[in-house]
Amino acid sequence: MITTAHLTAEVHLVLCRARRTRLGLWTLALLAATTALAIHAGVADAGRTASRLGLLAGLMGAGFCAASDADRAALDLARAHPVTALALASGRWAALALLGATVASLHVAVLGFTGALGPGAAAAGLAAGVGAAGAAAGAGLCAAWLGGNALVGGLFAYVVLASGVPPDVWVIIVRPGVLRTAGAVVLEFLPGLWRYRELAAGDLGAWCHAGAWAGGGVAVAAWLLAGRRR
Amino acid sequence: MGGRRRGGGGVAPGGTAPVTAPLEARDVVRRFGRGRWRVVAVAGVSLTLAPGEIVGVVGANGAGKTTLLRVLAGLLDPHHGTVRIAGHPPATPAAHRVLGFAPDAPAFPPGLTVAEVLRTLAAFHAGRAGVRAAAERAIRLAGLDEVAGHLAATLSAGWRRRLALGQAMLGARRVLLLDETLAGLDPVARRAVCEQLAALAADGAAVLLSSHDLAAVERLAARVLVLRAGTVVREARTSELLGERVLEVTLDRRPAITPAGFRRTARGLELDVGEETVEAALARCRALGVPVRGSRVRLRTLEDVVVEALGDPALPR
Repeated sequence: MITTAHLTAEVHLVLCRARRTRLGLWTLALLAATTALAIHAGVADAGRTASRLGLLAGLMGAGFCAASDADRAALDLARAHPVTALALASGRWAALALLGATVASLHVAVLGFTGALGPGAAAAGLAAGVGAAGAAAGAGLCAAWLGGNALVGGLFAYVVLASGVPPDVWVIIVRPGVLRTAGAVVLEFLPGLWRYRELAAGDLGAWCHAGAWAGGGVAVAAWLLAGRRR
Repeated sequence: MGGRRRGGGGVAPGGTAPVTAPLEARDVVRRFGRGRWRVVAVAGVSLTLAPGEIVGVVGANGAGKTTLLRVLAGLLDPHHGTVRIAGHPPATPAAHRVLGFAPDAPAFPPGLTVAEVLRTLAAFHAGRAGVRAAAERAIRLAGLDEVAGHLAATLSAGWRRRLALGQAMLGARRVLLLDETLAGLDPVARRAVCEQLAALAADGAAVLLSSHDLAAVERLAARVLVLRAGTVVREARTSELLGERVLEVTLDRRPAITPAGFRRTARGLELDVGEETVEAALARCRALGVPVRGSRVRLRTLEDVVVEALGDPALPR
């Protein structure tokens, strides 16, 4: 399975991307904008903002560190070394989740330093950010190895534009039909802001959903990688 | 095609324990596509590599060399047949601990330097403490010192192939599958890589080298496989293939029909002399009415063998 050396190498890869590509710039911009808005608006619900940051940073990481043609082609070289597809997927997931979790943690830390959060709210926000980052890393990795940047970009746009709408609100605002049903299914199934903002409150359904995306995403990504031999 | 002459599943000298061949493939078949688009890239290839042996795989473009190597490396599943790397199935970590593969068109993770690429891949072979040392050893063996700090994605084709060779030599690899590793290298680098491969083989590593660089294969390989349409059409020890003498004759004018036993060349004809004396061979030319202006004897090259094997209409296409 995954070793410390492998995990260190994957984290190093993500750090290199953050330093040498726009990943670092975009992640910092996302962190700065979300944190500034939260402070300006006096937001006390860090679970909401931290889960959003965890989700978006995890997906951006997947886009920049796993989805390009070159990244996917480079997996062939890794597969010629003593490592299983599951270990490769687990290592990349862990590095992406760590990126998202770090961004969310920094956000919570800054809010805590400004006095906007109490210790309990900070801990809840931190947990929400880490949970959302894990789910985003699983979903993003899966999308990256299945459809590359196009699919990750689509998932990112969905999270930003639509995933804040809960399915029960969706079925009220959309007329009955295929669109309403499909939309509700998508909102229930994919990682979304409406669900993961509940992570901070310890909602079991939200944690199960995030866990399923983290574990399922790694499993599907490993299956996709192993399927390249066929 | 069996190649069982050396090392293939025999008995250890002076003992009874069976010796596992570093690489053993039996009747490997690999297809691509379906229906009318179906292509049989490898059609029943068997081969065995012995420790310390360098085997050359040559053939025309599309002959199935790259597919064969990818199947042997465990990156593609065969549709039929078996592959064993030191007794292990090829797509397993146990096999990849001893098998290194340098692909024809290597892709490296973007944004990483040469040293970082090697350190990333070395993490699969060594613990955290040994990663740096393993990467530095690979840099030294592949002669990558001067580009160690360069971004891998920006390297020239020749350096990329040397980096591919470097990562194939990470860890304790005893079998190397090299796909066109010598292509695009400058003469100095080519010689250095050839010497490195010879040294690795002398140290007991088995090397399967796919290449269009027939001069290098001739120099390095103890055995050569000629592939055509996914099938091994010729396999022999290099010394057996190259021992024959060839008489090249320059002609006043080209004959309308190439006489039996002769091959056309740019300036005339040539024929294998074998055990015959040169005088007897020239007398045969005169008897056939071939207008000889000049002649010279040379040793048969691997290029002669390959061109002959690939051009033979009786062999599968």
